[in-house]
Amino acid sequence: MSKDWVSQMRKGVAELCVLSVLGQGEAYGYEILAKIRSNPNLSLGDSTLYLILARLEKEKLVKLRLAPSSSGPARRYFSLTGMGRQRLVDMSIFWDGFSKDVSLLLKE
Amino acid sequence: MTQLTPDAQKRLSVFLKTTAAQLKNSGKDSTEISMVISGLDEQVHEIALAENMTDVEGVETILQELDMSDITLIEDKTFGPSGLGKISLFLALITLFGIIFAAPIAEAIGMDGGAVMSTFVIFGAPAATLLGYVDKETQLAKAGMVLSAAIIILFTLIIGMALIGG
Repeated sequence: MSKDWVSQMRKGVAELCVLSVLGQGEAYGYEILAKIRSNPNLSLGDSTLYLILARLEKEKLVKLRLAPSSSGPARRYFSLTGMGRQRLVDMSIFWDGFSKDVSLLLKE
Repeated sequence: MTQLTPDAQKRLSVFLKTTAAQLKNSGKDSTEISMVISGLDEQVHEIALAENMTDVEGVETILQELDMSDITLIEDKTFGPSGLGKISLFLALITLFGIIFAAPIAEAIGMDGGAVMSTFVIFGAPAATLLGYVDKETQLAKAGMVLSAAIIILFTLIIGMALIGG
């Protein structure tokens, strides 16, 4: 079981991770989750992903496309909007500086 | 194309409906609930088909392994961020209280009961409706709006009937 501080740290970067996966192209929910979870130190709760996607959609950072499926509910594909791409750039720049500073601090 | 068995589909539907109802009853944002529930529906189907767990036991296993720890983080819409919904409902209740009790009390102390009642309705009900409208997505604001709108409609009808009756 993850320690509480681990999940807190993961939550802090969850939105960046989701935007980053969508930055590589359109994807559906489970695909996003699988891509994030393929990195051993990253994890995202099943309900958390859809909460993040709902909020990103509300902020018009992602857009939704429904694709019918013959084996279940319609698959919902998400992609970045122009605003979403800009947010990804801004967050990536911030993350670079932020992670470098934290690493420097840890080495002191 | 493989699909969930009818029993498995039923089990999943019950799980999703129960979860959605619990969240809705606790005043959570319906848009976020809908997004999470349809996302989980899609995801369970995806896992069930990929792992060949399309029967009821398979779906039960998937449901038990879902990480739902953050589901309570769905935005709370009972009170809303501004608290105006609370004020709206409070104002609507005060107006209702004024209509029922203030007029007889005013009459008893020698004031014009009709004027006192009208003051409550003219100032209280529109203010409650307006405040409710600002925070309209919250449950309390909706209640405040409905109550104050009902008061306005009722009061208008009473005045109208009185005027027609001469």
